[in-house]
Amino acid sequence: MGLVWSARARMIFSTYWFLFFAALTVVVFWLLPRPGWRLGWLAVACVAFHVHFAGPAGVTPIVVLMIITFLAARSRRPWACVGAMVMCVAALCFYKYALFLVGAAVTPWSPALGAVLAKDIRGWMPGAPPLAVSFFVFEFVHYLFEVRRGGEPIRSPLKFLLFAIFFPSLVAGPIKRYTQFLPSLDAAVHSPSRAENWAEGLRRIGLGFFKKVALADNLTLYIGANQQQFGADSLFGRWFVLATIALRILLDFSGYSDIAIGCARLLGIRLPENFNWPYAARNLQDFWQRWHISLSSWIRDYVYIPLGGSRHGLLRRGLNVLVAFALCGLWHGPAWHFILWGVYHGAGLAVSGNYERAPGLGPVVGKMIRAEPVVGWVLTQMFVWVGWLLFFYPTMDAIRMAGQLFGL
Amino acid sequence: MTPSEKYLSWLERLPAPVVNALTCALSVLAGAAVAMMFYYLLYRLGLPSQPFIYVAF
Amino acid sequence: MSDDITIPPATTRPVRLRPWWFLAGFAGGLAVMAALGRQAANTDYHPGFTRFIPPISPEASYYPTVNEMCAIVRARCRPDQILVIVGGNSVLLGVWQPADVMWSKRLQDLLGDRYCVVNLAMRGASPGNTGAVVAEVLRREFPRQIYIANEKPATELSMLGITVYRYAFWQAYFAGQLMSYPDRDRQVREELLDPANRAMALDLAFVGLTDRFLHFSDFWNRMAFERLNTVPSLYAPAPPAMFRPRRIFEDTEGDGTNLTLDQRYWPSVRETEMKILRGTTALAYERAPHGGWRLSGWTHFMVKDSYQQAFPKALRPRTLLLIGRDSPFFRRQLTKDEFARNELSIRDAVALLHAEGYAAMDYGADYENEDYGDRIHLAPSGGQKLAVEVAREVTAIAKKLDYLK
Repeated sequence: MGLVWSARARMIFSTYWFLFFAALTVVVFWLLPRPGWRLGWLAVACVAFHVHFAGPAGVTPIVVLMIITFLAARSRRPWACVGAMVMCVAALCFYKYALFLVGAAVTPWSPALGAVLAKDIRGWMPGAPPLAVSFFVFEFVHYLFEVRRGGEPIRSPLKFLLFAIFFPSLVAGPIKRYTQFLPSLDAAVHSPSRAENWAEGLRRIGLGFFKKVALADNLTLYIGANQQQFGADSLFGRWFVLATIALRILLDFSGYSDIAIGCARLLGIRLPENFNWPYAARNLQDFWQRWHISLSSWIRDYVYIPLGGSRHGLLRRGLNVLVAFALCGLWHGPAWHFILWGVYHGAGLAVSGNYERAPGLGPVVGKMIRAEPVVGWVLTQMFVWVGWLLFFYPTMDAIRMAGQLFGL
Repeated sequence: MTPSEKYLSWLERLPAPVVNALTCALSVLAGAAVAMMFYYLLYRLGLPSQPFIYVAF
Repeated sequence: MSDDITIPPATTRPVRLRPWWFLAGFAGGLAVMAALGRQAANTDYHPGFTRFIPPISPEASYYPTVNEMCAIVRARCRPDQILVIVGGNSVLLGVWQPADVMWSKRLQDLLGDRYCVVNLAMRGASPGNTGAVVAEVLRREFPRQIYIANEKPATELSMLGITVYRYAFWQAYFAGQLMSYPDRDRQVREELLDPANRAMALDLAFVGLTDRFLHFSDFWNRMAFERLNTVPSLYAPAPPAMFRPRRIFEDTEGDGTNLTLDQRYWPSVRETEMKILRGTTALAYERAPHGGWRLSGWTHFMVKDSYQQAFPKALRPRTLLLIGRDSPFFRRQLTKDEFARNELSIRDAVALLHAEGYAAMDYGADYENEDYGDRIHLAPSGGQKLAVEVAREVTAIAKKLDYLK
């Protein structure tokens, strides 16, 4: 299952090292008497965390991009901000997508050239993409975009460092907005309210680990044991396995978000919510306002709206949604089935936002769904859950399994 | 009345000291439950993600 | 997708938790769990224990703790008895021997009440794993003890054993329960300080030190065994069966007594088994100048070095290593030359072990096809023969170490 970030988050959060590191960081943070010392200690802890898990090769890219982003934003020059954004995106494309792009765009036309390019790229690249490259590039692009638009740049290098490599959210989100993060950081550092933060933080972390360790990990083992006989299973059995797949990803991912939000809360810092009961959504728009909220809002603000949003007619709007979600899918991993999953959701959003305009059947279906909201809920969840097959399995396997769900 | 509205109105009818005591008790139980979860987490982190498959040779 | 940039409102709860009460509940809850864990660590909750069958072993994601195994021993053995711990792998676990006729039970019958035999072998384990750790941890409570394990000839004896069972060593190590032994301590330090093992070492240190005081492994093992299992395994992969306690699993080891020849020695794997049998000594032995075979210099050095480092000197005289022969069904298919090499390897292994202060013996010289359930595991009749030979050796060791006074 090609979720590199998920595997890495598991390797990081599900370690005793992380528990002890987090406990030590929080305790020392609160014992320090001065705000400046707390800020410094947090920065030291974030650097130690990053170096421990990323290694020297993994730290270098983020340090370089941090310096470029910080200086570009401080200059407040639009060309500097755009240039820095391009460099961040180029770095992400190189580390995460270079081999995929060569395989997709070069190898089909010239296998020999593709092989040479792939070999060269592998020679330049570290063993794995730098830790959290997807997350910190997105946060840097957001920051530069907002500064270019007139937002106030971060003046303090220390605060920028913390924004860039804040350890709770570095590995698996949520993707932060600097205009929310910095005031929260200032409030935490200057005005401790320990008991409430500790209680809420512990509660959240406990909930996150319960979802992850007690539920999601067991579901993973169950799915692993049952997916082999998906085709041989009864119709009910196949839908049951699909339900466990859908449940597993929600518990896994929202569990990590809870852990991240809880860890930040232990320090008194508030991170944005990332999930809001997504399987209660009654339409796809609603679903994407509840699922991975920090990513979907980033895609909306920095891809969909700059492309034109819904301001240029129906056709352009549909195209913008498809492109935005194709990129959303690609963000999850360098593979065609991720892109297809994104396009699947983009197409679904285009249809669900406009089906009522279809002559004849459209208004009838719309009226029915409004009269019986459960119909909309069932259709939405079926769409989303079947979509998970594209997300987790190679395309042809996913199509085959989807067909088997409907007895084909 | 929805269930949550019924629950809220029942809560509002209780005397304040009772609500206080209930809240404190609930808080203690919640803390203990989270402690149990951490205690379980410490155990689960030590288990490998895949079991050992024994092969005789 | 809409252009609206509103962020969903935070959910509100009608009852807000009181932070200090919550934290008090958290601290108190942790303390209570730790106390229950400590109680579990000192309790034998395996009343019908005979051996570690697969559902209560790492194959099923159940890792018996050192405390758990020590409690099993304490519940069965008196301090005035000579403790005999059986470690090693599936051969000594008694694969192909039902519980009521397993070889270690026969050993106990032969040795009598003066001895107490506890089988802590596990499938695939090395001599240095679990049983060896428990024996060392109990060395003060049971100063008169004999540890039995098995090993292959011309094979290095691993100090830490195979990875999957090393957790027991680390548990005892970080609890300070092992004796100091410079060669082993140096190896352990090298392993922990190796940069490639940095993440593993930190995790081991943290969990070792935390478990020492919180006893979470002991608590949840007891919970999984007696009341509620929460970890899926091959034996119970999904709810609701997954939640049933592990004590429901019975010892269903097959009986190798009445197997046909083809059932013992599957035709489809005979060729592979022969390759393994030949391979055990082919790489380690070279032609001697005056004919015959000799252990190659390098192998001799590595094996001897491993014997010196695997067990502390003080514990070697009471460590009995069994070097077994494979089934005669396969040995008789060796050429005369290969057979001679095989026999030499066994004699060499025993001699080398004796030279390093261990007790050692070989077995299987006069066993028949029916004494084996497959190439290496003994059927009940083979187990009975082994028990007789081992009982003799154990008595001799006890006499030599003045245990019988």
